[in-house]
Amino acid sequence: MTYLQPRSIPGQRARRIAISVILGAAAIAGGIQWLSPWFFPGVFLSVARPFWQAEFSIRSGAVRPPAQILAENEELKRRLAELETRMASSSAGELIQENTELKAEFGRASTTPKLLAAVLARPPIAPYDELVIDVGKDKGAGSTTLVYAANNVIVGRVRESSAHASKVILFTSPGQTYPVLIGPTHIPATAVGQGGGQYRADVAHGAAVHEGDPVSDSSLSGGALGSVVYVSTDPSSPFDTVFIAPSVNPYQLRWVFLDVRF
Amino acid sequence: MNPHLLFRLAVDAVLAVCVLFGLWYIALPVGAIALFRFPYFMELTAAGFAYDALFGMNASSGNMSFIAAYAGTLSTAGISLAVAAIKGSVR
Repeated sequence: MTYLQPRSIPGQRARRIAISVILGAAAIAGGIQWLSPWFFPGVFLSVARPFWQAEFSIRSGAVRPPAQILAENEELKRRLAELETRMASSSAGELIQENTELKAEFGRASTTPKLLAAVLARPPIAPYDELVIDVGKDKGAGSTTLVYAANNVIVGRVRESSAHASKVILFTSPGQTYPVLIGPTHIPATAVGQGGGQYRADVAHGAAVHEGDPVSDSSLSGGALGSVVYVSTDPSSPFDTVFIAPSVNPYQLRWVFLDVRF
Repeated sequence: MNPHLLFRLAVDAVLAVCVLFGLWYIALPVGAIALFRFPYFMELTAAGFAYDALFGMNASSGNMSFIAAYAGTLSTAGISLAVAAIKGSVR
């Protein structure tokens, strides 16, 4: 006599339960992400930050012997003092001093130093031309905070901040724009991010823009943004396309400065 | 502790490290193999979601498309479904 084995009811039931749990968790996560888009990024950033800071400390040489670090510190101080002396006695130093005094007379002197932040993750580890820094809302970083590299080179702005970390979107990110001045004649233009750490700008056809021309920030600080690497000319177009390489390589940034006044 | 559970936890730790340091090109193959090895391996989709939370999810600011903002979640979910279909057909 043959008879059919009963179906594996417990196994199928367990499978249905597992699928229900998975779909339920996905629905809950989707609902939370819809209602509060910064919830999960904040949670995961707070989990990842200690690991990134530990990696940053190791790369910065925190595990080196103290004597070596002290010796390097003394050498850097000596070189800084030497450079400051040289700058003060040069014509460039006199121009900087005059610029600072003029700004103070017109009430535009900066009395707030920029905030230093360590770059915890940068491209290509952090994709989409973004940086993750270790300064968050606790230090005053907000969605309009501008971010600079060394020598007052503007690189981007804060996109979102959690309590102790922030994501910075670089101006070289595709679609990002920033007003600039090109060349010694300060031709105004809008630099558009191209991705991969590059900018593009359109200027009037026949404008006096040449390869190697400096490109500066159009704000009062007038910091450098980069230089012109190529000018594409089309006689049938009213515009020439200028390709700009930044002064700093955003993929190698380890420290940035935040202007937390804005 | 069950050696299978220990092995699965080890694979989860590898995925977590890969997500933390942006090593998606290591996480995806490891996760794909783990999908065949372990039942209901949802850790890969969770890793993709964590990757987007850390580095993506910028769709709300209009800077990137939905697909780019959730590339990790969508790719890992797609791989999970594909492996589930393959497992269902060969087993």
